[in-house]
Parts: sequence; structure tokens; C-alpha cells
Amino acid sequence: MSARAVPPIVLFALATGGFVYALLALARHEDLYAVLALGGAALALHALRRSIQLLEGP
Amino acid sequence: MNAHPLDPDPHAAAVAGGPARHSSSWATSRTRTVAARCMAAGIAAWLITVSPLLVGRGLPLAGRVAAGAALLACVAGTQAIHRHHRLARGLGITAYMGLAVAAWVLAAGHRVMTGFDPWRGFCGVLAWATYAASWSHPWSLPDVRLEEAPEGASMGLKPRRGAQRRATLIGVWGAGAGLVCLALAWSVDDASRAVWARAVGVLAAVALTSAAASVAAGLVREERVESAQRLPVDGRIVRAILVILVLVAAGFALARLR
Repeated sequence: MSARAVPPIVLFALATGGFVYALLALARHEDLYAVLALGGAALALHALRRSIQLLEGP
Repeated sequence: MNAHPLDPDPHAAAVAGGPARHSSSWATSRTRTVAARCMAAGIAAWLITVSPLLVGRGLPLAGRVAAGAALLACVAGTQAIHRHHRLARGLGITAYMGLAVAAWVLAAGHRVMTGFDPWRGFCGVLAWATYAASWSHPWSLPDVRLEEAPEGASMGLKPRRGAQRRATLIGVWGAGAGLVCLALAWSVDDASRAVWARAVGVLAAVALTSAAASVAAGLVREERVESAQRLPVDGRIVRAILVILVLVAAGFALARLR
């Protein structure tokens, strides 16, 4: 694909939101949502790391 | 005996010569500003975490003396910054911290600190972090003296370029998000999940802070990349974003079902 990728800042914002929501869900005894949000945040961080690796180039 | 280039200059403001005097007075003014900043941070930390020991009931006299002497050491140390480097460090850091810790230790057995609520504790952590940051610079030397110091003696190599404004903002964002995560984690009172919440909070804070540093460093590198296609789409990134969207959709669906 030749289109430009999602900027790392967007992925970082996703990770931030995921972690904050996970902690809020934990405080409200909503464990399932907490686990889902944690998974999303972890994936966002993984994608962020991959983006930065691509940015650095070979 | 020749003075070491890093020794403090007790007469920094009285250096002769036009430009030198101008730069020296500027440096002295800056040093006084740093001293005021250190004093404000130290007093704030003392007011939040040590002053209750002084005014609280039940603390022995030794504890009250230690708490009061800590404040005096803090103020005296900051006032000595532009005159005597080592004395300032000894009073402002060593004596101040030692007396504050001594007051806490003496108060531990008298239930004086049981009135500390989590919010005061959080503010105290912030105040002590600010105090540590305010004393972390080679604060005791005017810039004219730092320029005379041999290369590498006063600090590390200077960066070739300053940080971008965006990079700084992202760093602040990461630190702020980490603090929010820690505050949320420590707000969980339920004993059955408090440890879990704190573990997640610490993990999230570390992850967000390091990710912010990576993004900020990537911004600096990004400028050097000449290619117009700076961020090619990668299949793994797209898949990860899709999975995130699926998780969000699943969360909304579950919320509706309930």
C-alpha cells in the first residue's frame, strides 16, 4: 500500500485512553471491560513500536 | 593555590570589566532565581508533609525540633546557593532531608501521621519530586563560571540541537498520563482488587512514559528523513488497529446487552 500510515501520536493517544479506561473500569468493578481496554492499549503500544521501527528505517 | 574552575565564586557580582560584569550580574540574578525556586519547592514539601508533625498533638519534643529545624535548614541552604556551594548542598539537601526523615521516624510511633489522607500523600509526592528537580541542575555556579570549566567537568556533552516543541509536549503528555494512571490506581479502595489496580497502574505509567519518549525521539528523527513517504503502512499495524476497533465494538455491544 502506498498510503501514509497512522501517525504514532494517534496510536499513543489510543494507548493512553485504553489504560485510563481500564483503570476506571477496575475501580467500577467492571473487570471484563478492564481486560478489553488493557488488551487494546497493549495492541496500540505494539503498533506504536512497529511504526517507530518503520520510521527509523533499515 | 589556584582556584578550581568549579569552585563557587563568592564575589561573582563584583567581577571587574564591562561585559564580564554585565554577564556576571545576569548570572548572579539567575542564581538567585534558582535559589528562590529551590526554597519555594522545599517549603511546599515541608508544608505538606512535615508541618503536620510540628503542629500535631502527641509528638515528642525531639520530633518537633527536628521538624522545625528541617525548615530552617531548607531556607538557610537555599540562601547559601550563590555564596557557598557545598554549604548550600549540605544544608539544603543533606540536613533538610535528614531532619525531615528523623521527624517522620519519631512521629511513626505516635499516630500523628494517621491523619494523612491519600490526596495529601499524592500532593506530597509531587512536592518532593519538584524539590528534587529544582536541586538537580548545577545550580550553585553562575554561567560565567560554567563556561570557564573544562569540557565535560560540569555536565555532559551539550546536545547538537534543542528538543522540538512538539517533542516536549508529548513528553509532558506521557508523564501526565502516567501520573493520572497512578492516581486512578491508588484511588481503588476495594481490598480485593487494590493490588491488581496498583500493578496495572504502575505498568501503565511505565509503558506510557517510555512510549512518549519513543514518540518524541521519533519526531526528531522524522525531520531527518528525506523521503516523502515517511511512514509506510505496515500490515501488522493495520491488523492491530483493526483488533482495537473490534475490542471497542465488543465493549459497546456488551454494554448494550447489559
